[in-house]
Amino acid sequence: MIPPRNTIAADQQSERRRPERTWTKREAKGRKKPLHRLLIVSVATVVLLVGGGIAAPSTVSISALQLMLPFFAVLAVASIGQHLVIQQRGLDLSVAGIMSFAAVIVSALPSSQAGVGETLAFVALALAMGLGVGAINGALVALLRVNSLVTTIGMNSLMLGITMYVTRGFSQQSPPPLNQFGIGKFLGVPLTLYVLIVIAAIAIFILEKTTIGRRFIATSVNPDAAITVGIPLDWYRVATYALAGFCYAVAGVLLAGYVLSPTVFSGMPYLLATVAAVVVGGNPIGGGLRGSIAATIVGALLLTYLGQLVVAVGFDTSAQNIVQAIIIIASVGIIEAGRRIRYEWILFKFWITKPDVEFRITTTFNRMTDRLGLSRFVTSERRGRWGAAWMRLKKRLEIIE
Amino acid sequence: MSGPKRNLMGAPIMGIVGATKYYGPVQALKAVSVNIRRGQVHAVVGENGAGKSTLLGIASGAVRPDFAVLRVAGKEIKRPNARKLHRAGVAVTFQHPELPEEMTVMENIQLAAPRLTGRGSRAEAKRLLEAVGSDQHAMSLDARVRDLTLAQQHIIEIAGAIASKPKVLFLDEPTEPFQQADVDKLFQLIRRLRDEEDVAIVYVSHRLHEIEQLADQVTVLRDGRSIDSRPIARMSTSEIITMIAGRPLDQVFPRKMQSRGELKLEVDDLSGPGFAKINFAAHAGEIVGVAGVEGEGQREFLRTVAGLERRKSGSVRVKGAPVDGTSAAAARAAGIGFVTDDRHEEGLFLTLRLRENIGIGTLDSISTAGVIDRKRDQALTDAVMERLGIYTGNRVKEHDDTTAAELSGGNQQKMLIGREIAGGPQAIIIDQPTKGVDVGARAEIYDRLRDLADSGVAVVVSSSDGIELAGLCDRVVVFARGQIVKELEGEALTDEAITAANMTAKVAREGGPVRKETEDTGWRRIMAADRFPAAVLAVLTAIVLFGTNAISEYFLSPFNIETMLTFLAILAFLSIAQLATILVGRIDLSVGALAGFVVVLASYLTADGASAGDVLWGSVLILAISAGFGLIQGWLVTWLNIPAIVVTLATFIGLQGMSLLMRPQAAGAITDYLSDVTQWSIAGVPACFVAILVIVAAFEVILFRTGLGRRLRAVGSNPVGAARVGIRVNRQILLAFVLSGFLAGIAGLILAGQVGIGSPATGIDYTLMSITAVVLGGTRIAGGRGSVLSVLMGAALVQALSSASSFVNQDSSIHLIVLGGVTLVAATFFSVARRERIG
Repeated sequence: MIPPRNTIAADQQSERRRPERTWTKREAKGRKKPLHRLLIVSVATVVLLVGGGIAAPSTVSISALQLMLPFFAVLAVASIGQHLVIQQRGLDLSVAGIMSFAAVIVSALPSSQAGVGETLAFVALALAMGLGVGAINGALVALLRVNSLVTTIGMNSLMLGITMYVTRGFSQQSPPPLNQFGIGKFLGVPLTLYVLIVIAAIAIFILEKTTIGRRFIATSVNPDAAITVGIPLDWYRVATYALAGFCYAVAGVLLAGYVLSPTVFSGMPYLLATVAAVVVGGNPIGGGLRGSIAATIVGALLLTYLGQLVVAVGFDTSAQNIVQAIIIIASVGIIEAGRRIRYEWILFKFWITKPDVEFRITTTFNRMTDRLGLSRFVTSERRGRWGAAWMRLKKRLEIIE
Repeated sequence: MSGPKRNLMGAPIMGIVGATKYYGPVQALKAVSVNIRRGQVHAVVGENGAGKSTLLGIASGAVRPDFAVLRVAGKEIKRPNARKLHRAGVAVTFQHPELPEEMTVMENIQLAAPRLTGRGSRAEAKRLLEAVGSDQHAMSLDARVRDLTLAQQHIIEIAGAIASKPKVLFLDEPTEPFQQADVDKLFQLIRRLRDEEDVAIVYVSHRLHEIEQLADQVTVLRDGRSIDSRPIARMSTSEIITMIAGRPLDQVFPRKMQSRGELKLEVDDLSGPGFAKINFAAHAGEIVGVAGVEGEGQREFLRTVAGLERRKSGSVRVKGAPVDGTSAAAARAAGIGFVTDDRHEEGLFLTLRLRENIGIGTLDSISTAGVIDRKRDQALTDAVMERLGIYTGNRVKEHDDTTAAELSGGNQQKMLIGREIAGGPQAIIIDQPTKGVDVGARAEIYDRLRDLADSGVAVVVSSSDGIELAGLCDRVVVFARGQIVKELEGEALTDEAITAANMTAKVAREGGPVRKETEDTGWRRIMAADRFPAAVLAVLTAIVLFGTNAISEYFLSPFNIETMLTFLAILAFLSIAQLATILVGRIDLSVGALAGFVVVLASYLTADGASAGDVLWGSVLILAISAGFGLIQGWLVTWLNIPAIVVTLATFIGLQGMSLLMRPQAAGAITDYLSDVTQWSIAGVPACFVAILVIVAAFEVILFRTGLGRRLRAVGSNPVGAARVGIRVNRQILLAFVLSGFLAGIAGLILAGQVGIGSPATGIDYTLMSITAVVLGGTRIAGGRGSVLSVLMGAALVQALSSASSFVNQDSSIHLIVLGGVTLVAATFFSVARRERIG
């Protein structure tokens, strides 16, 4: 083990001052950019829709879709909020509490024959509540440095408790204007979907086109670097949680309008579903990468349809939960599993091209052919062919430059 | 040069052959081979970025090489990792210690040297610490590492490495935070280890005078290659320097300043963390260097000027206008640009496009009313890339899709400089301008900096490389002890002069190095104790119990107390389950749902009418299923690297689905044996409560007195540091999840006895209650710290509140509100009291 003595002479120095090289073809291939997450989740959704259409044609009928779309809109709006929090390296478990309370504010508090004005006032109250509770979450997490999970799980319980206290456990009907809006359609498309489109458009515009969005993405990708370039990270975090709370409140109001009399815990199913939508959309948990709100929305569509499909093919509603759990773990796990397998493959490549492995295999082969008296069949020419095949394999594996 | 040491040809003990490592397109190590012999000090020298740290990382198992054959004591170590190397007798101390900060000094030493338990081990640890560091770094064995200085952490790391009785000891820049007295002491120790214990020592440093004093053999690295390896007797100092630098120096640097312009940056009497009363000025057209050995306050000084650290007093003025020192935004607005020394952590947005990286500093200039103008954005990026000569290879035209991660180190550094230039700064501060940049790009960066200075910007450069400062700068100030001790200019500005100033300053250095601010008063220290919450919680629980009893005298009836104790047992088991996962830095949201699922399982496996034997086997099966479920969760978390929150949130809902699927309605009576066992009491105290006390005591002992407990906490406190001392991090996490599942299974069985029927909706509330109990117990949510006893008392308070609220109010609204409120208050209290960092 003598170290190489390649002291470079002074006259060779200039040659080393070449411009820095970039990725070679092989390196570039090794780190091929992953398909855009929006594309993946869209393809998955289309495949699911087609497959579901074949398995249970009733689920893709116009009427079934129209029944499904408002639920999709509710989930998608809530998921946008969750998406923002996950981009800020947190996880918001107060979805259920804020949604339930918002739904109750607009259904239990107004009089049963409330007019448009009164209804709007309570809708505004619900939205303000969402914004305010979200801001408290944000203040605790960003300013007082409380763990985001503990904060939101505590807040969730607090809001559910208040919801129960206000309603005494009984669900009540939403006022007529809200209900008309909830089941209303324009051009055959549920009004709730328009709400989603407006909110999504605003969110995507802000994130992609404005300075605020740029800074938001920067804080999400690398908080320390964001501080270095002078971005007020803490206030961005507070605003994130506040806006997330607002989204949940909107979702709660939409839900109250559509289902007419929301139960006390109407927001409960959205706790996992919002996280699932973000994850199925291929968005990273814990920041580091840019996320895609569009992918989250498509993820919400996939989950909503999947839920319908599971019931349509004859499973119990509770099976939805199991399917959701499996899907959420699979969609995160599959990426890592791929990485693992690729890593093992690289190790294998190195193993197979190690000189001593080659030597071992050749000698074993030769000894075996000798012992079996086959050596005269394995001529040196044929051995040469083996050797050539071996070299080809190495080349294929791109170990040899 | 010192003469040849004895034992020049010691027996080979460790060999690294052909070590190769790529970081992206940058090859950090190119087939480097090193042969290490017993009883020798083997120095590895080289500049920053020569590959020393990578080589060390490979030798320690922390960095996975693309190729390397490692041989220790004649045996090849296949697929090397930290644990295998640690076991083979390789101990490594790093330039930046990564110690589990939540643990004590003694525990940290025990992590590195597990043999140090039992009688006499504390004395031995004390002796080692004293052998490594001088008296001014004396520390208590029970001090928490997070309260110690960097130098003390180094001492702990070195002491731990020596305590593990290594065959090969790697020391990476061990003297960096030390003063002369410590350095002498350390050298004495190294010599003793070499001569008396025949240890092979690999000493990595860029300080030649240290190597001359110590080394027997020298290996020189440059640009990732091993240039030469020889006994030091056959190498002269000038030879080593030529080999390290590998280039005629005058060619690389641009010409010096032509004329000094107006005053741009003025600093008056500035004090901050680690430096005091600094006066400093930089003019247009000049490049000012800031020199100093690591940790002398120069980095903190520059960061304070840039608004990244809080200043204590003094002022900063840009062209005469004072700068508000509260934020980086204020400094930037005033025209101070800053390029960090840690590109990846603090500078770049690696996964974002170049355009987004460059534009982020000057968004207002490329936007109208907050909306970004795509054309101006692109034009800015093109201009910056053109001006600084940033290559993206053959894809210059397509650089819109290129992310920062794809650039080489040199181009990344140019991009950061470009980002600052784009803002049109008056002064620009660059910390370590050529760190991790290869030789060709270095020269380009120097040229750009000179161009920048010529264009009328004051350029301030900090570097640990004296040659670089001498070649590049017009004026250099040398920092020591947080003071400017020397200013060099013109002819006096040479590499030797800078080094000399550093050296002499070191001798003069008397006071301690940058101390951590420890303003812990006695009160804070009491609050920080692990079991402090237990006492407070006990008092609070008593208040709740007797307070409720005052309202309703039936509350503390014997029957009710017994019921409460049984339910406390359920909650206590679940809280300890939760604690196990939180200690390793994860969380288990599924505990409640798992307990509920066990109730459903119990209605099948231990149905009413089953014989005692069947019930026993059924229970064992249920516990096995629970533990197995924990194993699956742990496997998903470790092997597939899915965040624990995601896994357990999914299983939380999935388990509820399973429960509902198996028992859509409550049905299937559960055998009375389960409740009989739990209600069996000794002198009025339920047996399961006695059991929980025993288990709490046992777990508390395991957690604080055994290697297992130490490893679990180390993993939660600092997984990187834990892995460095050979702990199998994933295995501890897996263990925590298995334990969590198993304990949740026990809790589920007790719950099943209480419920008596296969109901699908029990247990779910327990997830929140267990988290509340853990938070109340003062456990650190990020992991690494907690006490089983405190968590038990937390569970007691939660149970008392829960029972009291259901006694006062029939529906569960008050219960939920109280739980939520208590969680928020307790979490906020501990966060503020312990000054948690965001994470």
